[in-house]
Amino acid sequence: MEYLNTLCNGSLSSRVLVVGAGGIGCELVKNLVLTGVCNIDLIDLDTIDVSNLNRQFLFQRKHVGKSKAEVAKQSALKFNPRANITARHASVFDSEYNVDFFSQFSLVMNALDNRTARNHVNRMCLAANIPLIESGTEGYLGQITVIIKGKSECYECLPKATQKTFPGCTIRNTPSEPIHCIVWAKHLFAQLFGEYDADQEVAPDAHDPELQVTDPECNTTSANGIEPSAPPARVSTRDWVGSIGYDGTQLFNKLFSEDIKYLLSMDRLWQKRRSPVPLSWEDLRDLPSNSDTPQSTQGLEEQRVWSIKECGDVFVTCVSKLKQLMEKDGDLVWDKDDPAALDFVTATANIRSHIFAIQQKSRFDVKSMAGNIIPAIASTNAIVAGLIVMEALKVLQGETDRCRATFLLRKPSCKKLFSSLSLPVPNPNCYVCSSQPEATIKVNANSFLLKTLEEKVLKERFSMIAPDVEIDDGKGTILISSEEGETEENMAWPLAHFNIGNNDRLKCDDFMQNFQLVLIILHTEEGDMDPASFEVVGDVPKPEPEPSNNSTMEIVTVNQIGKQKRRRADSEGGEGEVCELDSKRAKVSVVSDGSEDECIAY
Amino acid sequence: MATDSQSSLDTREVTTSISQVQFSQAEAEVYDRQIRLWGVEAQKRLRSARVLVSGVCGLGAEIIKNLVLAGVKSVTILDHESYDPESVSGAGFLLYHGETGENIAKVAVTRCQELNPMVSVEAQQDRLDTKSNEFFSQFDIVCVTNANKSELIRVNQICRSLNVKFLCGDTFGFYGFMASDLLNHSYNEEVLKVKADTSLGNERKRRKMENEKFVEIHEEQFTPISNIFNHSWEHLTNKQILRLNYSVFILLALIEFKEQKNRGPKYETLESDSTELDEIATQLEKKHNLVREGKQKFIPRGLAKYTPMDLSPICAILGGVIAQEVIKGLSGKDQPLNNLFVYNGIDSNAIVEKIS
Repeated sequence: MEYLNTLCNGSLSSRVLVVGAGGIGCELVKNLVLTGVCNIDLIDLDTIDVSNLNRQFLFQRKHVGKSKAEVAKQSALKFNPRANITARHASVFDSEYNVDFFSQFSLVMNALDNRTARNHVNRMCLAANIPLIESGTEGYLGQITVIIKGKSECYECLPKATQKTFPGCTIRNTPSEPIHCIVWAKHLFAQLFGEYDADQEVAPDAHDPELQVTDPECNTTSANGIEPSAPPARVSTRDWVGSIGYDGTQLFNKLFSEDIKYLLSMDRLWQKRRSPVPLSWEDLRDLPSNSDTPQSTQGLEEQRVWSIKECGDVFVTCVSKLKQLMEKDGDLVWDKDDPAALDFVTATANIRSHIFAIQQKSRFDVKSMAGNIIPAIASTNAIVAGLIVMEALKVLQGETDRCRATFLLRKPSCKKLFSSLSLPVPNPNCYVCSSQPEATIKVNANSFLLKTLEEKVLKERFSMIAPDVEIDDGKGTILISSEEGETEENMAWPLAHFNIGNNDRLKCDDFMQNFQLVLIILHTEEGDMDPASFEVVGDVPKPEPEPSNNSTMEIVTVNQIGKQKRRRADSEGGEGEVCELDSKRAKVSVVSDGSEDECIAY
Repeated sequence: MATDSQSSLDTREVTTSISQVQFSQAEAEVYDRQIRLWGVEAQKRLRSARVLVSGVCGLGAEIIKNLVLAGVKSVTILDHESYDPESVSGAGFLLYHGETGENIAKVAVTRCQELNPMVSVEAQQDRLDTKSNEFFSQFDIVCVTNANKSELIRVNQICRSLNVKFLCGDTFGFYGFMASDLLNHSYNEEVLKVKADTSLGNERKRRKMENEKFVEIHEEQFTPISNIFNHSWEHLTNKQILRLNYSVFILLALIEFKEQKNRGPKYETLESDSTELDEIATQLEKKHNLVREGKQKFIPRGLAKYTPMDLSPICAILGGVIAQEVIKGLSGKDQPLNNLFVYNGIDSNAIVEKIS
């Protein structure tokens, strides 16, 4: 180690920050302390789960439930007692981890599993002007790059493919794939047991655009005389289910028989589709108890597809279990690792699939799809963590010109197992790292609310934590203040209320991230734009078309940014990065995240 | 649910047919993230595989860790050296339970059991070169690290005669390699093919193109390790020489150095080792007629200074690649690398060569 330190010009004593103590994080901490980089701060919010143990080798079964950062530190000290590790069981979003905090380090290394946290650390490192090594793995694939302000591409220089989302009416009215039913089942879970969210409506949608085509006459009256645009006066699902005392069979009949019959009444929907077949609790008796889906006898019990009869029983049991849980703990948040929550979604999704003649899925598959699980193995994490330290040695010696961006390939390409490139230069129009960041959004200013601007645009889309917004009108009119309560009354008004219209500029500032963005408003009234929808102009992520085979590289697109309130700085897996091949540049770019715990699209 | 089946695991292990192997709930939970990657079938094959890893160096420790985590049936660790906590090498993370002077393989076993109690781990304290043919026949794959060339060739020949798959590797500071001989290896591979969506038989306006997974079965022929090390490039054309990567020859030079001195370059003797390594490079260039058309050299010189240490990240990279190849060799899933992989950590080269 002494020799290596001499070879590296004494740079091994530098202080470094590792964000995430999951799959990559464990391997990284091991490599660092065994290489002699011993002054380490390690942040992770998470606790250890049994499914981590196949790769996060600093943890053992007896550590399940404990802090990842703390246990990783203790394990690492055993094999290098001289290591000086500060374990922080905390979120990297905490205000304590401000620009000054980041400035103490010679290097920051991300071992994260979600894009929100990556965006944030990217900004903090840019603000503090500290080099950042960004990395991720998914299955056999992995990648590493070095982000140096002004010298190389930052994490946000290139648009990332966004999570696949599904139109509300597909989820509510016309599902055609298993995932549609799984999303619906998760929404139902939230409606019944969770916090109310208007985006997660499960009832039939009478405003389906398909019902409002060409002939306005057809909108209102359907062949059998029911008026779909005026659904029967509905109390909210939550209130209704409360009023029947969460009776499972009544709920079953409502969801799978009455609501389906109502959907059938919108006959325009079924002109070119197979119609759903309502299923009542009583119908279940006549169904075979064996599943009609061909079963592989080779798999795990978890991989067996339940019969619809079983699904019905599981549904009723889970409704009562989850109701009790809710009465005890308050609103529930869906968690793939909670057996009752997963059983509920599996059963519900499969019953709905059955009704719509969609293929049914096993509990194992539903868990992957609903929980957005990224497969992860020890060997890929080991390789990636090794490559991170190779780059770290260059950065610490100040030899950033030698740094490389590296991609693990599925198979060798041109005799290379890892593709290694010089660092790409920054995008001059990057809305984060360019000298005067700007972005343009297209909205209908007459209906686009300030609240939506804050939540959906600034926080979700542009990953700000606590934005301040003022109009760039020379007067500095303040629209949104990060101080609680100061601008609360503005939130319910549309942009036009503040005389914001076409080509107006909003100065958005996140104090913590030391990040200023000028948002240019492009007003549009065209088309059927949802009042709450917006489009980022000139920065529309285009998911690359998949290559025709997977021989050289697989395209994997997963996951989405978590909802704001559930933002998590630190990884659960540490891995779970997603790679997408940019075939033209023959490189893979970090595209999306793999937070296992976050929901799939809505 | 197979919740209570753990106690009956041992009796089930007796079954020889892969499809009969059952998993306990505990296994399904721990291996969940990898079963989602390589499937139940591959996990079952791993579950019944016996592996030998020789050499508890930084590289050996990484391979052992990755295989124990992956959930093979058994790992036998072979090393005759004794543990010295003062020389913290890349293997440190596998050895911290040890006492000075204890056999290093024995020390590693304790930590392995912590890593994954579901894998049986055993130590063998003998020297590799004292092991008989019979010894190697108990394994499905033999993986040798930290041995010189002639020993690798000897063990590979024994394994060939026993129909046992063989991998080997070594690291020298910033450099490392893997060579593999998986015999005639049959594997399956999932391939995505585009199909037209015909689900539900309804006439959609735009027929969605969907990828469907097909499983293809392939075969890969390997050559004995000796063919890799004894290969001659002498008769290549100038153009073919240009396509060769110098990193391959850096490793061949280091392998030759170890063959001659029974060790890699050392810090204590760095100066003379450096001269010798450069001399070996010159000999290799001559032997293979690598320096063409007025060029001065093909293999860079003065690289010994990057070699006299066990560098943890290099061990991790090579150990990850080798463990993954062992897993491919055992599971019969996905195309293995055939047959030489070299990593050059100075120039970030990761080269796969098929030498035969």
